[in-house]
Amino acid sequence: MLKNIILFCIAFSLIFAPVVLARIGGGDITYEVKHIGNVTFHHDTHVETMGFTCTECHPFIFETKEKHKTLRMSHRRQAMSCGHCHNGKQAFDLKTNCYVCHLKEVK
Amino acid sequence: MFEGRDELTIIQEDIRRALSKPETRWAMLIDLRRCTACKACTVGCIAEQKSPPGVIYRPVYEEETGKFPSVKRRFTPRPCQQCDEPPCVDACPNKGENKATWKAKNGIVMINYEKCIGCGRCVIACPYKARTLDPGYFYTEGTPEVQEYEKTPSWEYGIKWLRQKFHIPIGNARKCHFCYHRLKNGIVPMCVSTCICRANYFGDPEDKESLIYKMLKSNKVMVLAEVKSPAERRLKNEDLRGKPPLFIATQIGYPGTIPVFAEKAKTKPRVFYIMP
Repeated sequence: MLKNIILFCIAFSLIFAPVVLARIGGGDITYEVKHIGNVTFHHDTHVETMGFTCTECHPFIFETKEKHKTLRMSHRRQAMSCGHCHNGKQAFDLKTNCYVCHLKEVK
Repeated sequence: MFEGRDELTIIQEDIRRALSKPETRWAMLIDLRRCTACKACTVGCIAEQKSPPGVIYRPVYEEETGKFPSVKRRFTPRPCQQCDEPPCVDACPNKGENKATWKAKNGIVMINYEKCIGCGRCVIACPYKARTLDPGYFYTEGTPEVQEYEKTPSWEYGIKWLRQKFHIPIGNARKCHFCYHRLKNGIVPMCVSTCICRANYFGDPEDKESLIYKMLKSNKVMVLAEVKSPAERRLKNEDLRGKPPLFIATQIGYPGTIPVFAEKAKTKPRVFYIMP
């Protein structure tokens, strides 16, 4: 009897356990920008394609999504946020082409 | 105390009884007199959690004291101490219930892989080296084929974590959680069940009928002291910047290979030891 209960418990937990297949960093993070177009940060591009480790940005440039709600273009001059790397030396400059980051939805 | 029964049977009953109560606070007692350093707990843990290379939740420290011919050897298994005042949680920039890491009511220090940012602050904050960052490697990497058994999901915290490159928990901090997924189904933790010497006692120490309560009462117990090596004290958060997880693992940790015991520790661990 006890064996049956244990087996049932295991089977139950196996069937109803949530499956998580989340990308590193929870995938994409979108910052809303009115009129110009939203900016989406892709974890995939930075982690998978560029091969950065988590410690490259966390917690020095970005801590968490909740604590880093706003991004400003002026951060570029202060070498903060995206501008820390996107300064034209390490990565493409933020000044060159607005629509690389600011994507407008095509309706 | 044992009434001719196997310790595991008693522990299993204790866990079932503790689960029926509204509040349980788990604790572990390791009898170092019984440990033979067979490392079955380490192997069992790796098999259960599917932990990758570089991540070992429960290593066994071996030390030798004295001069030949009067030498003594002591073996100390070291799971996460599940401190009541955990320095790792204090260090986390995203701490809090259901955030990256928190101290749960059942006494276990939990990690939510989905919220962990993988910054490694907790890894340097832990005075026991219980936490490690998952470097995302496979044991059979570099061989003609990455074996299927390495890609099998782990069930930590009762959630199915598929093991694939660039998917969590790769990059996150990982540590022992007293096999939380087994515990909540009333099964003993893996290290306890694989121990051939029955050196582990597990249960709720506040439950007066439990074996762990009786053992804690009838024996003098010690805890691991919270010791930080001088090199670790010098290490700043900024030094970790851009470093791969395996590098962080080599820089920090329990000073040397000799565990330091004390009667009390500031971190208030929930893992107790009976000295040999």
